[in-house]
Amino acid sequence: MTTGRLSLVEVRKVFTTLGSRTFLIVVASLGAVIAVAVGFLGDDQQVNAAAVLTVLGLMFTIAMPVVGVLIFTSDWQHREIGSIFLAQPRRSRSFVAKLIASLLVTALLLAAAAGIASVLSVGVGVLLQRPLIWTGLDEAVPQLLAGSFVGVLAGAALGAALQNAIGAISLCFLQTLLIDPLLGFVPAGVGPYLMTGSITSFVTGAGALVPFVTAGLLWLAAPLAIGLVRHRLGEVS
Amino acid sequence: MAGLSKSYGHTRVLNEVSFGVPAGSITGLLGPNGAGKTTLLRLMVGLGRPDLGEALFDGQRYVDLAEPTSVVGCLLDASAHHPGRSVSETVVLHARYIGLSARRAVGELVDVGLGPVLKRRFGALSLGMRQRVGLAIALLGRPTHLLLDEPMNGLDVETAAWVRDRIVSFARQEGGCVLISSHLLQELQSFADRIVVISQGQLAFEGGIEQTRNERSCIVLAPDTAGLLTALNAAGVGFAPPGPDGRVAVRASSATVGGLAHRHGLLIEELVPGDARALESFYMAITKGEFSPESGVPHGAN
Repeated sequence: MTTGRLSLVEVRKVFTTLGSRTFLIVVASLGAVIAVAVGFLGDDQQVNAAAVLTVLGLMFTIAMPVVGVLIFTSDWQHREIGSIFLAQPRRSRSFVAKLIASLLVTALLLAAAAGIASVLSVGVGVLLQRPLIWTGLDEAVPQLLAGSFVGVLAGAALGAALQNAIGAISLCFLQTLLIDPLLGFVPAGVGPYLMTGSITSFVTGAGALVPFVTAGLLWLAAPLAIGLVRHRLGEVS
Repeated sequence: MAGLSKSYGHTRVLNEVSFGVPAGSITGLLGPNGAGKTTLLRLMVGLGRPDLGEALFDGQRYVDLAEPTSVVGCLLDASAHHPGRSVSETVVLHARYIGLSARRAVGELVDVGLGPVLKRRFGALSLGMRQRVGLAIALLGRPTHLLLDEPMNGLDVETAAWVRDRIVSFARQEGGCVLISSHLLQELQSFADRIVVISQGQLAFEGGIEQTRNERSCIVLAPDTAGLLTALNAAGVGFAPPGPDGRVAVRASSATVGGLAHRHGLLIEELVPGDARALESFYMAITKGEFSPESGVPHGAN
C-alpha cells in the first residue's frame, strides 16, 4: 500500500466524518462572514481583498491546529486505529500519511478560502459600487500560508504526542492565546526562542533562524517524534 | 502459533501458547474471562507485541505480509469505528485503505444484509448490525483466514444464525480457516471442528470437538416418561430429571437405552447420542471453574 493512497484516505476522512466536517463548515461560514464584514466595514472608498485575506489568516492560525489535532487523534479516540493497523501494519506509513493529509487538507482549505474571499469581495464591491483593490497581498498571502501550515503542523504534533483531542486542542489554544503572548514578557529576550510565532515569523521572512530552530524543535519536532514513537509502539486495546 | 508469551507489568497474561489451525476448519478459542483470548488474537495480528514467540499465517508474520487483508480477515471489536460516519463510508474507507473500489465495499455490505442501512450513522446501529459491518470489513480482502473475537455476543437468534452460517460457508465452501473465540459453548459445539482452551494464560487443551463428546450418554424422549424412568431405574442406569419438554439425559449409550426400551416394550420418539452440553462439561473440567464466583479468584479483564 502506498503512502500516497493512505494520505488520500486520510484526507477523505476529514471531509466525510461528522465532527471534522462540521468544524470545516463552521470555519468556511465564519470565513464568508468575515469576508463580507471586512468588505462592508473597511475602507469606504474601495474593497481590499488583501485585508480580507489578512483577517482570514488570523482565523486560520487559530482553526488549523484543530484540524491537525483531529486528524491525529480521531482514530485513537474512537478505537478505529486497530482497523487501520490491520490494513497497514507498517505503522510509520500511516503516521506519515496523516502528516501529509494535514498539509493537503490545509492546502485545499486555503484554496477554497481564497476563492470564497475573492468572490465575496468582488460581490461586495459590486453591491457597494466600490472598486476592488489587492494592495498588501505581498504581506497577507505569506502570513496566511505560514500561519495555516505552521498551525496545522503544530496541531498535528500535539495531537500525535497526546493522542487526546480535548487535551491537544486545549493546549493549542493555550499556546496561541496565552503562552505565546506571555513569553513576550520573559526578560533577556528568551521568549522568542520558545514562541511558535518565531516559526511563522521566520517562514514569512520576518524572523531570525535560531529562534525558528529552537521553537521548531520544541513545538513541532519533539512532539512529532514522541507521537511517532507512540504511534509505532502503542498497543491497541 | 509458537510459544506466544505476553506480560503486562508483573502479570503474565500468556505463557508460551502454541497451537495450529488447519485450513478448511473452524477452531473455537475458549477460556474464562481474563484467560488471555483477546490478547492472543491481538498479538497474532500485530496490534500488540509479544514478549516471546510468534504467530504465522502461511509461514509469515502478519506484519510481514505484503497484502495482509487478503490473507487474514479480522473482527476483533465490532464497535471500534467512528460513530459519526455513515455505514457505507465506514466500509468504503477500509476498502480504500487496501486499494479496493467503493463498489466492492458496498457490494460486501449488501451481501451481509446491510443494504437498507447504508446511509445510517455507524453510531446508530444495533450491536448485531455492527457485527455485520465488522464481518463485511473482515471479508473485504477475500482472505483465507478469519480471526473472530466473540462475533455472536449479544446477537438476536436470527443474526447469530446468519453469522454462524457465514462462518461455516467460509470454512466449508471457500476452504477458509477460522479461529473464533466465544463464550457460547453450545453454539460453538454445533459448528466448530476443533477447540483450543486457554486457561490462566496457558494452553489447556487443543484437539477435535469429538474428543469433548461423551459417547456414553444420550438424550431420550418417550411418550411414556414414567415407564422409561422405571425401566432405567430397574436397570440401574443413571439419568437426570426429565426436562420441561419431557426429554431425559441418560448416562448410557443409545444402544443400551434402545435395547432397554425394546425389552420393556416402550415406544421411543427420539434418541440422540451424546450430550448436548458435552462441550460445556468438558470445558468446565479443563478450566476447573477458573474465575468462577466460587473459586474466589477475581474476574480479570480480557
